[in-house]
Amino acid sequence: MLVAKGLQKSYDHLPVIKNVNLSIDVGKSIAIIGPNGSGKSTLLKLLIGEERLDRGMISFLGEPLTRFSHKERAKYIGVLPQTGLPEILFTVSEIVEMGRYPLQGNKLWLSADDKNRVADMMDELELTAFTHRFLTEMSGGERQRVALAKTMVQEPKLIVLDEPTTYLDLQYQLSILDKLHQWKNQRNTTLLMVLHDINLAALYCDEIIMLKKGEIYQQGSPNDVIQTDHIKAVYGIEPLIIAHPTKGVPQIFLNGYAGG
Amino acid sequence: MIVLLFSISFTVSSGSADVAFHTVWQVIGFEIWGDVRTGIEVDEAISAIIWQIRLPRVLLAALVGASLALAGVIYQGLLKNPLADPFVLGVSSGAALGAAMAIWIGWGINWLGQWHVPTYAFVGACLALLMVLKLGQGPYIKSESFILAGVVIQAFLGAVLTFVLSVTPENLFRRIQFWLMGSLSFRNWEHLFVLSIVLCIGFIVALIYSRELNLFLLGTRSAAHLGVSVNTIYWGLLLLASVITGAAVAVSGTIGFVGLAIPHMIRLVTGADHRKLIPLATLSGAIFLVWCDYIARTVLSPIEIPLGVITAFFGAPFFAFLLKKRQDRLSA
Repeated sequence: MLVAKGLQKSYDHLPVIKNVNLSIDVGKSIAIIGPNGSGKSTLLKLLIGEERLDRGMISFLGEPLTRFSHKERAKYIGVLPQTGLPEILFTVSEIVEMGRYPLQGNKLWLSADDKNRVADMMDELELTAFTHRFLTEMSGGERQRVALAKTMVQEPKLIVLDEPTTYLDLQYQLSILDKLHQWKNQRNTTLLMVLHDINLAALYCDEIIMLKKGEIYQQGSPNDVIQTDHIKAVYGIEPLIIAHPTKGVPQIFLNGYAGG
Repeated sequence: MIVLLFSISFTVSSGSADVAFHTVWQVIGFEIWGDVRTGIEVDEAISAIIWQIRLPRVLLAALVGASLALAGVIYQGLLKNPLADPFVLGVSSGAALGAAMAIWIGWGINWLGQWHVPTYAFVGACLALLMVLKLGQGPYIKSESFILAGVVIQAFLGAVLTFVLSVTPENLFRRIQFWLMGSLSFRNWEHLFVLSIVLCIGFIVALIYSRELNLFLLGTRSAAHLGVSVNTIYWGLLLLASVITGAAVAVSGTIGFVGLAIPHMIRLVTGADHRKLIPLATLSGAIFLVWCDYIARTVLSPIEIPLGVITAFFGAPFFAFLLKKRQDRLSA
């Protein structure tokens, strides 16, 4: 679905991404992990064409990404940003309807078909009760669910998430990731996400890309990537790694001084 | 729309000489279609009052009000700042300085004629805007930097204006001051014509991009993720709103609070959806200014209160109310 070759990007002559090659297959879920400043978010921006490349080449669905117009790109790629939705005077349904923008053509108002899809999506995410509620009256977790509905109603083939769970309570974190996982299986959607939490990445992703100072340090299945020496080399800590008791995927445990 | 039509006919019919409602429409019919087809006979003096003086003035009030409200909606949408109004980017200061220069220097009055002051004002508005955009420009679109740039340019132009005022002779000084306070008198059909074209084009373009304006409220990044060509449309709309403001200010002087208060008021009723906000605010702006102008010329008749005074008189308390409500909500 997406192939990147020799990506390079600098800000003010400071290299942030140095020579990254990767390939993402349809229907997989991929996590990008790494410490602060390792270039996770920048890599994500490059891969969806939000930032211009200094060097390298990205092909999407077999064509150079640059050949897609903004609107065409939005027909295939949906983005759920980290910060969620701002507090603005729009109702929940108005926000979700915005997700149809790339598919709506030049019409000012949505067609009946579009409206049905919006209603279905709101139903699926249990937002129907909030239809006429203003965003200003909702909590952060609820707003993130609205943002997810808006992104999903775009019907993207690739969903890109930039730390989608950072500001959320556990319950919301899991409900969003579960929903995405379900869509991945049902609709063969591809997921690409930057995650801060290594354990969540191991639980929800088929493949993990571990970045260190703008380069791919390790890439592969959670079992291949999440190993003590890799974590030590990239994060500078020595965790305990134990297999998840029911899922079998590796999970890390931190070694602190406190508690003996 | 009906309210607007009613407001226009009412305010045209009353004034220092009251004219009956139906006479107003008779005169309009007479002037448009002539007496042969309508068979109407009207008093020439009344006809002159209505057709030459009152109607152009009331229509101009409607057009200026609509333009300022429309520009206000666009600015507030783009800059995501409740304080944004048609004058936030220094457009009015530029226009004011331009007008003052026109009256002070007087150059070009022979061949520009009645367009003398408006032309200077419009050029001034455009120059101010260019400076603000240049100053506020960065690698990313940040609304704060435009607003800050606007403040800086306004302060600078304000100082230049004060200088100009201090060196102009007494008789010109009064003319400048009257212009600065905003006035719709001494305008005629040509002014109306030009402004209505600008307003119509502006309105249609704004409506076409109303969905993009909605998406900008999510943040420019989110708008880009949904497929909006952010740079082109953002700058295009910013320029559009400024041209609308410039055109309005050029014929009427600075009339504050319309572009600030009207969009806020309508937003409280309809929410932030620009597809509804743009038509409703434009219409309400027209109605509001028609009435303000009516008050301005009738309350102390025959003395005319500057229009800017009336709009501020109603607008400022309203704005204070908004501010208070906002603070109450924040502290709640």
